[in-house]
Amino acid sequence: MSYTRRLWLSFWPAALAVGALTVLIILQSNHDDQRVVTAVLGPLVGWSFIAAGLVAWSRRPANHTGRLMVALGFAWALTALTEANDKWIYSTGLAVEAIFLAVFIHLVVSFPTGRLSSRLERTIVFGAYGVAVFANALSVLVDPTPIPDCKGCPPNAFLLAPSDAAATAVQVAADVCGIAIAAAVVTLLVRRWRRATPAGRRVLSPIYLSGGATMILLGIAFAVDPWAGGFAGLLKLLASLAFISVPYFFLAGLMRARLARAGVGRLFVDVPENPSPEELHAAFRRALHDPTIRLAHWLPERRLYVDLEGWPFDEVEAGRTLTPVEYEGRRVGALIHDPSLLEEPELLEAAVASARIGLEKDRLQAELRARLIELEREQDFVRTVVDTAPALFCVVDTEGNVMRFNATLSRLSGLPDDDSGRGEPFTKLFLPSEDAASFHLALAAADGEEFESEWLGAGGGRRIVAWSVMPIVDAQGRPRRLISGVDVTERRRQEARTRALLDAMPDLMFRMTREGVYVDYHAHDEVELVSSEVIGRSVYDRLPRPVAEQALAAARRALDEGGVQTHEYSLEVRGVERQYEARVVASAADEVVSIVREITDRKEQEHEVRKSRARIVQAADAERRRLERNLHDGAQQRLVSLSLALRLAEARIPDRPEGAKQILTEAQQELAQALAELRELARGIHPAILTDRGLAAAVEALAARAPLPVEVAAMPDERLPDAVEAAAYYVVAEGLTNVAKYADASYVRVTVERRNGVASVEVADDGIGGADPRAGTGLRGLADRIEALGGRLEVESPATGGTRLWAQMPVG
Amino acid sequence: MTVLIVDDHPSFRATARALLEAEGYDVVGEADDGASAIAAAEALHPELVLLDVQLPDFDGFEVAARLRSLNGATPAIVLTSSRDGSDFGPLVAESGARGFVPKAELSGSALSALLG
Repeated sequence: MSYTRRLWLSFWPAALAVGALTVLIILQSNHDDQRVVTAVLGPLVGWSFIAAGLVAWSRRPANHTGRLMVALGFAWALTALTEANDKWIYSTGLAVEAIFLAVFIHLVVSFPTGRLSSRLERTIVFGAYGVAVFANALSVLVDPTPIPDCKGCPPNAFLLAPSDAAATAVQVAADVCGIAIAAAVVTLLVRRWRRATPAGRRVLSPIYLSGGATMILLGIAFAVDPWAGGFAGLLKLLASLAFISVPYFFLAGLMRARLARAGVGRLFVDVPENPSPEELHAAFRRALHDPTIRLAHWLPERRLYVDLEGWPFDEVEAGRTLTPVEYEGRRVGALIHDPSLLEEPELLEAAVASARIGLEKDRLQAELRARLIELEREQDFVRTVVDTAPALFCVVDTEGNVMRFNATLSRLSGLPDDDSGRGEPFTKLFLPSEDAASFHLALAAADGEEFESEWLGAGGGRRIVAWSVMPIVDAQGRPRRLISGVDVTERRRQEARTRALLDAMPDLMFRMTREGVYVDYHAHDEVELVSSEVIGRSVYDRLPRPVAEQALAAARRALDEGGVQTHEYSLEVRGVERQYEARVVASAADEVVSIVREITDRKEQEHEVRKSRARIVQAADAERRRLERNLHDGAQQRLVSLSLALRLAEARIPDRPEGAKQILTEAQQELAQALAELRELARGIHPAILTDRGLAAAVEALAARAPLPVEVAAMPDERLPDAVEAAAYYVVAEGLTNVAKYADASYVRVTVERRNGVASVEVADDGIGGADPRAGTGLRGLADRIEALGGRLEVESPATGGTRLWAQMPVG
Repeated sequence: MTVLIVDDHPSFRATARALLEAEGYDVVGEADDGASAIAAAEALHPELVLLDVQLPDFDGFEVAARLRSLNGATPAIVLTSSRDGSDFGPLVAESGARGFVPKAELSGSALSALLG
């Protein structure tokens, strides 16, 4: 037994029985003035819903709309109970007569699926059931006249507490709820309708037209009922008519789907033998009433959908549904359609069946179109690459006549790649005439060998191009030659500029790796390279080991720390010791450039300057020492002797006046001699103690004469060179003088040390600080003296207090 | 008291000899450098050696130190030629000399005062 048959056997006898029962009740009613009309219409309405519901149920078992319509038909039959003369049946009818309205609202709100999908829908439907059951149940408990002005109605059997006021209150409350529910339903339907696609509206329209009209009329009727009972009655009558029409509209909708399915079956009758994509789409849209429907081919080897024109299909957009189309178990395409089509499965199935035929017919062409599109895209891509690449391309025939060339060569030559150049000799268009012969040799060889020559540029100029010729075959299989090249004009110019710069520089230039392997070099005189081979060799191959290590260390510093790293070294070149200075900078991630300059002359000059300064200082010191010695040995001794002689003469005057006179005469001569010597020597004094006793004694002497405590913290054990001792002495003397004059100090510490070939002298006080080292000539002269010895002098005198005079001198 | 005068300036030695002899000192010898001073002191055993600071070979303090090691108690007095005696104070003490006298102030009384 089929499902349909089983359904009908399950419900239809019951429907007939219920209908017969209602006819019986109505015909016996003594309070219905139009018993015959009611007895005919009442069962008919119920049967209409039940029959339409069974049809829908049997066709779409998964859809609940059919069940709801069946339920509505039976709920409607309950309203006939109010026609009964028996007070119990009559009163029961009053209590349940509104249930069919709740089922009806359930049907309308849940259409087309028959399921409640949102909270709002559930709220409306449960609210409707609640009002339908409770309002009428309450009413029969309190209303003495549930049907006003009813002549012959039996008494209300359930009346517990008769109260007109309570009855009115219940009625008003029920009306308000009814209005609210009706308004909510209408709002929901309007919103859904506005959002629906054309195909969706087609599905919704049967129920929405009849059911929506019913709800609107009922809503208005409830609203006007308290004021205009007659008008409300008319509206309720119209609502009843609209309600009665619901199953018929529903059946009409089903019929239209069936008709549409038949239309789909004839889809290709109106379509030409080989329809264009537009014609095919138009046929489907017409048949399915969906103006947005699209068909797609499935290309199994590439596992993608393409549209009828061959373009790859983008993802299915939101709000659309893709239904695959299969043929003999394999996918051949898809229908992309409005989701509402899913509500009409027979129609969709028919459409898929039709699409299957159409798509299968068109499949080969679609694949061809897709391949063509792909090839065109590939061609566009290649053309873009060829035209935008910096390389020059030109295809010529084996004779050297131009077939075509790319945009880069067009820009370089100023010639358009059009028919005007095609067939012309390449040499005529692009090369100076003198290069024609060598070009033809290259063309004949076509072995990819690289050449570099001048080509004719736009505007009559020349460009330097690095080029080669390779054999190729064109699309028709003819042998051709591809001339490809790169414009290296700017690069060559840049190289020429760099070369000129390097030629102008007296320096050696090397590029080498972090490991010290030479990559490139530039030298004016190959002899300076020391080695006959440089590139590819290591610094250890070219330079003595200590110098090589120095160079490698500088390269690593340049790479790791950045900046310019310098190092100096000496090499024997042509038997002569030469001094070099190398400046090393990173030129790539793991490569440095080293600029090497010979500084022999500079070094010698510096050395000479230092030596000459030292000589000056030594000469001056020697002169001072000579002066001091002369003074000591000459004038001073004479004066000492003179002093003693005068005292001796004085002692002899009383008893030996003649002897005294003799002494005085000699003394006069001695004095004259002393004066003469003094005049000669009065040019300066070298500290005698320094000469005689050395620096330590001289510093002790300075310390002893100073007007404040001086600590001589350290003195060298050995004598220092004379010039250094003199300079150190003067540093201490100057320092102590300044301390005494300006520092307001309570303590001075003097330190003279010799360490690692350097003598350092320091005079530090605890005074007020803030001394200006540039003020006065004493320190400047001192600095000159020390710098002449290759040393330096510094003064630290912060404003916070304390002054430190500090000198360093090399002592060899 | 026997005296040895050590100075490299003959004119000073002559004047000093005259001055000291006038004051009753017996100048037993003269020397013009450190080495000959030590030799003369060893030979003559003077009771006092007057030492100039600056001598061609050693200085007076060096000679004083050597004399002390040779003759034990031979007293020496250093003659300075300038007033910067403070320069030599520590050196005098180190050398073991009895003291120093500026040459221009040389007198018997000055020597007596230093010898005590």
